[in-house]
Amino acid sequence: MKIITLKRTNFVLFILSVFFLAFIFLIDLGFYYTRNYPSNVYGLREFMIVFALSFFGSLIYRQRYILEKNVLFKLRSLFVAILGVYLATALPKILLPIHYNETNSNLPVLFSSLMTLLHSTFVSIFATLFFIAILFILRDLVFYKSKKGTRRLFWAGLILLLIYIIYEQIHYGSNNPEWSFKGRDRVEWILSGAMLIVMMILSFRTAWVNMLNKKQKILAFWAGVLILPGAIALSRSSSYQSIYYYSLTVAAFDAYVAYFMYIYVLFSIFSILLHLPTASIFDRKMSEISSLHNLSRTISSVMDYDAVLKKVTELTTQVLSPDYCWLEMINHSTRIHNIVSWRGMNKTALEKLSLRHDNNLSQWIVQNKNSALINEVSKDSRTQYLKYWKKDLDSLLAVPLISKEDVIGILYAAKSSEFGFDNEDREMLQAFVNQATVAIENANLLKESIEKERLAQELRVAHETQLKLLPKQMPQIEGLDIDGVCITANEVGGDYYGFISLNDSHLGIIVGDVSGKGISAAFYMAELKGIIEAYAPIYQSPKEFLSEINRILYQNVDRKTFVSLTYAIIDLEKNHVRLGRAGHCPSLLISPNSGELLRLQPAGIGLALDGGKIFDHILEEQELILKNGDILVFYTDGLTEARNSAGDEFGEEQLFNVLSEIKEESSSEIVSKIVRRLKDFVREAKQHDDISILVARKI
Amino acid sequence: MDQNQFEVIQENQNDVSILAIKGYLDAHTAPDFEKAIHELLEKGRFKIVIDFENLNYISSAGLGVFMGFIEDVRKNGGDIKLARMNKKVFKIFDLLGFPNLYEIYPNLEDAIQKFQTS
Repeated sequence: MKIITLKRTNFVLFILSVFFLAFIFLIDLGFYYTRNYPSNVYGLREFMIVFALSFFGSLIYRQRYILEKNVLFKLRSLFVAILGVYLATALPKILLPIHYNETNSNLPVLFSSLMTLLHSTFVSIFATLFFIAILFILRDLVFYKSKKGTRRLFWAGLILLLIYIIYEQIHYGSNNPEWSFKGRDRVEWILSGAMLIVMMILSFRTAWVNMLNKKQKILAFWAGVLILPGAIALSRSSSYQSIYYYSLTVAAFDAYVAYFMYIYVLFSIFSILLHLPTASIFDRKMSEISSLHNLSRTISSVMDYDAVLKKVTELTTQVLSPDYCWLEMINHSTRIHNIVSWRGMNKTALEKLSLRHDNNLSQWIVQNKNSALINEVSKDSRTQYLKYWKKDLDSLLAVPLISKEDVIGILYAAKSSEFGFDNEDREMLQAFVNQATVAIENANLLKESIEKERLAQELRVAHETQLKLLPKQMPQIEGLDIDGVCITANEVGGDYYGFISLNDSHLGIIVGDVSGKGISAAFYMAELKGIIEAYAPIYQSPKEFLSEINRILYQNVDRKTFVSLTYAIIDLEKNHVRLGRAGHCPSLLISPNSGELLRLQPAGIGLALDGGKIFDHILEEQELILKNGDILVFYTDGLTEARNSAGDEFGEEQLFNVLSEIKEESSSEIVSKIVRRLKDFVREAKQHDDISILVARKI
Repeated sequence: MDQNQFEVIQENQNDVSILAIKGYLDAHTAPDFEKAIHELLEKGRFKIVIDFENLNYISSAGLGVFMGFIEDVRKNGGDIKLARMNKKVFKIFDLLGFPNLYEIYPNLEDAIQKFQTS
């Protein structure tokens, strides 16, 4: 609704303005024929003209070419508007050569011919419309990056103009017979001088020149030179004499804008002229700044570590267009330099360059924490090594990536032309590299935290897997009291134990340890459990069973992985034990009645270390008699290798000590005693490996 | 615990490469050791002696490193020989039966000598 009412008001005002101008034309025409202009109409006539033109001015102000703040667009608009003024003033004069020889001494002027009346009206209205547009454009150009003072001065100029107009009206108004265009009185001179000074000061405000590139500056310069003679001609009052005859107020305004325009165009031409010699350098700087800005933005948007490294050389190549570009990262702990990202070279060249990483130049950069700009590669002692790499190399720029006072990497750009880089390139590259360093650090942190999260997740899976693989309860078999525990480490250690019920009187006991840790250990445990459960019931001898599962495991696991395992078959009918040991730590047989402690360590190597030949050759089986009250203890190395905070191991000795104190205790009591002793020993120290203990007592 | 920081120092004696390992060799440091051996093999150096003099501890993951490379090394006419283990480390090797798979020498010279005579 508001828009509609506004539009309606505007419409009414528009009609009113057109009506005023038409009305003036009509009364001018009327009085031309009656040859008598009553002076008392003068004030009203001036008011109507100013009102109408002001309204048209406000319409012009709302046009796109005034609101648009683009400098180039402004300049183009200014050029067009000035041409418009020419058209409105000069063209009618050339087409209709007329002479103003009005002689009456009263205002408004009584035109001598119908032609002069038409001419004067037409020129005044159209030229003024263009002058209004010019003033708006000049205002925007002057205000470009200006301070408050400039704005105040601009308005001060217009206020001076207003005073001038008012003075002129009072001085010459209505029926002063003295008026003429020949000369000005002192007040007019002072006011005109003040306005000129204001215009000149304002004309120094040509900051927009900096916005133009070299080509645009040249163009603007010639456009200015082309239009200047016309501007000078316009600033002379005689050229728009016809406007004076139409209205003193309008003429004063137009003269003001014309002078301002002339001075401003002149000053702008000088300003462009001064900027021209440095234009290309300025252009380069600008493009560097904008590309740096782009670089920084692009590099900050990449989150993946490897992608950031790739982007660094890619963007450097884009901006500096070197023939070769590579990024070396320095390992924090080993201080080894590694080329992680490169451009402009193939794999062979890269490998050749990588072999030369311990060179003088990178050492120099790491020590000085400064960039190096080398324009004659063959003459610099630091870059001799590069001559052997690429003979055509002539200029090199090397910039360090510095994080927390430490050089974490070096970016190189090389060209096969001498003096391929200058100091500005060096500065820009350093600025970019500083940004890139932040991006690399961020990506690294992100990578680490993702890695951490992944590891934690992996650990959870490994733990759950291990818990599912271990037996839920101890086997119930007559004549044997069995108990055990598996204390898992934070990182799954790969401990495994299980029982195989061969028949009513035969029980197989397995204790093993898969090499490695974490998810891979848990995975192999699962595989091991599957193989054991499939094959154990088939074999009555531990030796046969172990050599069979060794063969299977060797074919199925990664070469780095192996398993240590002890397999014991307890025959409760004949009361004896057969035991095979595949690289596992020894098991123990304790007879509390006699105080005897046997370390059971028959020969045997770990599972999956060898295809079978050596394994089978070495493996031995041990047979033992199991008396009532005898205790078998199986464990994994996590128990004996457990450390306290001083770094001492729990060891076999302490284990033997606990076991030597055993009398009539049940298996579960024995396990508790061992665990208690272990805990007293290690206390707060971190557990590094799984600890498994299995105790079987003949009852 | 600084003395337990794992470290590998490489030294060449003619065509024999000596890797002196130091500190703790476990699941966390095994990749560093693996990398060191890998670099030797990349350069075509297959005659390797591992000097255990300053190694304080080795875990199953550490032992796995040897197993991971031995086949490849022997196929190329080389070997990994082990030297100067302390008692504790030797016990771990011994329990697993490694002396049956690797040549283990009480001193470095014997291990290097063995390469040059064979």
